[in-house]
Amino acid sequence: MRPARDDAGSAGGSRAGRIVAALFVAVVLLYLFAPVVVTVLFSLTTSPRLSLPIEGLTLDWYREAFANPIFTIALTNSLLLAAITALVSVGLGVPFAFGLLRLRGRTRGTLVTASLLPAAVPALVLGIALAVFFSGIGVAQGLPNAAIGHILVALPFVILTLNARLETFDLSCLEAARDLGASPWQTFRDITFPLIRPSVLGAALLAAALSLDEFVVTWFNVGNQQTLPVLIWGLLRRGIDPTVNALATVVLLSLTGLVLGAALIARRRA
Amino acid sequence: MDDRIRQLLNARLNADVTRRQLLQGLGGMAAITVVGAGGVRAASRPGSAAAARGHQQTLGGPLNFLGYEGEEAPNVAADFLASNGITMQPSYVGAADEALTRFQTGGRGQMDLMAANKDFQRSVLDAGIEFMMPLDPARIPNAAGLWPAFRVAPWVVRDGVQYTVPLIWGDEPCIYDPAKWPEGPPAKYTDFADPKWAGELVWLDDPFTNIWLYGQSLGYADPSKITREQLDAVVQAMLASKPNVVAYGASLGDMVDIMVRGEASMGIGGWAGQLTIAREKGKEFAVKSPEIDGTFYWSDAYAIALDAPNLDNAYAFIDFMMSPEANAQIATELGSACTIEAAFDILDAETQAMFPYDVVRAEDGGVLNTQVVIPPQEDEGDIVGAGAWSEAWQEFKLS
Amino acid sequence: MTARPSTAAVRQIGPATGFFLVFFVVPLAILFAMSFWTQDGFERIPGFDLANYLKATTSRLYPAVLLRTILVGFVTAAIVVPVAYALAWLMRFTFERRGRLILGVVLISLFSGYLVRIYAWRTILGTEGLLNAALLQLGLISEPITALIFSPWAVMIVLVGLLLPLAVLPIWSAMTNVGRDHVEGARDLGATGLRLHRTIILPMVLPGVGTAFALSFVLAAGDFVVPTMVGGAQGGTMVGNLIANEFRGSGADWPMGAALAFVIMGLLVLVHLVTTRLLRVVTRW
Repeated sequence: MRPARDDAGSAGGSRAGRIVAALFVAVVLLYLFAPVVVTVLFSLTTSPRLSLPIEGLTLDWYREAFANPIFTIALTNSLLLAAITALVSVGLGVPFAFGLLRLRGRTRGTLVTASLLPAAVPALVLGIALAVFFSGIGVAQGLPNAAIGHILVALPFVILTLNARLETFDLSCLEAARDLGASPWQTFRDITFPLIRPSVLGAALLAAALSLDEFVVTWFNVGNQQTLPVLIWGLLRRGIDPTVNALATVVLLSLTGLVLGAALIARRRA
Repeated sequence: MDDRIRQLLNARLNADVTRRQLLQGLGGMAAITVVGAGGVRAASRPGSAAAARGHQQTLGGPLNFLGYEGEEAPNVAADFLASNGITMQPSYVGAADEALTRFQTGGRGQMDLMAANKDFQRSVLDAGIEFMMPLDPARIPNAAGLWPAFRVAPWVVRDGVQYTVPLIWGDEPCIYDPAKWPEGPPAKYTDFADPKWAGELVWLDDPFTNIWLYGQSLGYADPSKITREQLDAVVQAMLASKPNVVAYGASLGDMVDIMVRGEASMGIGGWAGQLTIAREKGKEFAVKSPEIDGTFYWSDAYAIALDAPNLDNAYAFIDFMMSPEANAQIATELGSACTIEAAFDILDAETQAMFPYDVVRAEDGGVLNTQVVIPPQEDEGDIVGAGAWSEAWQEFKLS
Repeated sequence: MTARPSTAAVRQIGPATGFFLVFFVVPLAILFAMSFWTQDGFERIPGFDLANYLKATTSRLYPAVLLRTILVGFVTAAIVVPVAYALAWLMRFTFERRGRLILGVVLISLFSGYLVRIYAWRTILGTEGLLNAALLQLGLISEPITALIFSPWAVMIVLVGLLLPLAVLPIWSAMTNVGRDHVEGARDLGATGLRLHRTIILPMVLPGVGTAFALSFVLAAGDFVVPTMVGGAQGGTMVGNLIANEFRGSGADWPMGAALAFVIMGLLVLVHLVTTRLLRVVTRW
């Protein structure tokens, strides 16, 4: 078994190397967060144009967003879908990734590529295919259909992420645990899960993020329900306005809070 | 899972309700026949239509809308919806065809109210496919106030049966920044090839609008019915203007967004309603069509989907929107022209002057009824169909 | 490692496989059958006709768009993966204490919403945008640069920003398997710099890198909103646009759309297989 973390060493390189590294990370983070900062900033300014100059600050856009009952419904539905997608796709993906470990190389490779296929299909085609399928078997459109679509979109990424982690996972430690008399569940809880927890958490986050952004599959399957992306795409006919930014900020903050909370709880337990 | 069961139950219950409503509808019709003209008069008051028909008790609950954003009239109908206990559940489309796609992929039985453009509705009726429900005019008494043109229009009535109820109409002018272009657009669309427009143009990302307008500019009698050679000539003419194009607006709103941010100052294939959007964002734009080429007219109409689960709500809503007050208000809000004759008098002078109303005063509906913008669905002899237009537009963008 | 497909393996693989079979394979099979149909007006005529596939591969428009789509996907992935690799490496070995925190921060950027982020980039890159304002303020330019937005560059900038967080994840996951002792050992044997990565580290994290590449390639090729929104007059039109049009645009032709979808799927899988093989060859030098 490989140690999860080694003693601090010199792999990080010299002091100058560290400074360059820190600069690199800073630039990447600046690049990733520039649009996020802009989104939050322009949810707070009086300018309805989402552009400079900034004349004043206001919370009106938040008030306006929450005055519209559809926004709250869409927000709730989206968060619900994200949670379901994260839970189910991890619930299906973790056993799948472990099952792959027991298979021979060729079969495993084929299965990994096959599980990538839903991601290679344009979302629009997935959405139409699912909608045709559901209407064929007589299931009315609605949130459950959309949830299935979201899981379908997220599952390949969850499997791929976990597979990348498990590819070099040492199964012998599990056998050792079993030899020592641990039940499969005990083995999973005490040994396997702690080892893969960061990857599982990452995969769940990824699934939630994909679900939150999913529009096309949702549109064809959600029936008369609203989700945030469906609503926002519809509003595009009038162009974007700061209430959309306000909504995005609310989602961003609540999810960040959720992630931080989960991380804190995990740390306390550890 | 509970949700799905509830929905299945709802669908089942609604199916029964629909049948019951049909009977009540017949009862209502009888009542109107008895009351006669008096009934219609009373019904022209917003919100009282249902009362006049004597089955208000069936109103309330959800009303699903699928159409262009804004045409579900969230502001205009707010009181009507609230006082009748109706919850509007809107869902928006970018192109009218999306509603048909949703209908054919399991949406049937879940869709009520729809809004689409006249040419789409016309070709759906031409094709004779199952989609829009034949309407009972007796349940939309206020629609009797439509301009004459709309009562006979080919996208409204087919073989004596009414399928749609026109809500608003308008044209497709150029939208521009008058501070930069006091003269407005040039006389012809082909003049946009002039280098002075470099870095100033934004086009609507829609094949039909642009090909039609440039076809008009090339002098074709009916730009919606052109041959392969003519289509190629149109694309060549458009390519001459392309170096001046900054971007294509993904929607009418997106087009304004690009202009409001100062990326472009002249939009082609615009809409007077964009002026309102721009004003909300602090910019004053103007609209005008090229003097020689002009533009085309559009009209959006309500329709009800076959097997609509909330038929009573849909009928009552449409009838409400056909009252002069509501019709005038939605026309003003959306920067468009009204379809109800009596609504015109309520409009302020500025909104009245925005559109040439003689078009709809003509008994035969004038150019609004004869003009078609969308090409035939399939090739017809030498005339190329919608597929060829879409491909030509994509090729143009790629070139 | 035991290699026989035990009942345990079937039990573990079963649920996800079942899910894929019911909700992916069956619906897609229906659509595949439809790709051989023909469209007449608003109606679809069942049959077996190869015309759609012929058109997808021989017409003036479709091959050009397919090529462009593959190209955009490939270039984006080729930019995203090295950056993601470097980031993952630094998170694992240079900032190991803070590595997980950095990863968390990177992932949080995903939560601001896809479409909203695209619009935010318009605010940043626009002629009256933040970047131009900053450059003007600093006196680096005297006129705003109009070519920042509505250009192929803008498409790349936005796509890379959207996909980077997704690509970091699998590489970082794979790197958690690489111990510091491996790195030390390799260094002791004289492998440093690029050679260290090519001969020791990259082969160890190859599954993760392959995944990251596939993921960003597929997502970039499948995206048709970014080119539409920031690509400008030349940047638009990906296969996704065409497929969308065939299913819900005017003059819709579902069978044609289905055929296009299967062609691009085949191409994506092909490119994926080729790059994985290539990557393997490169790392075995």
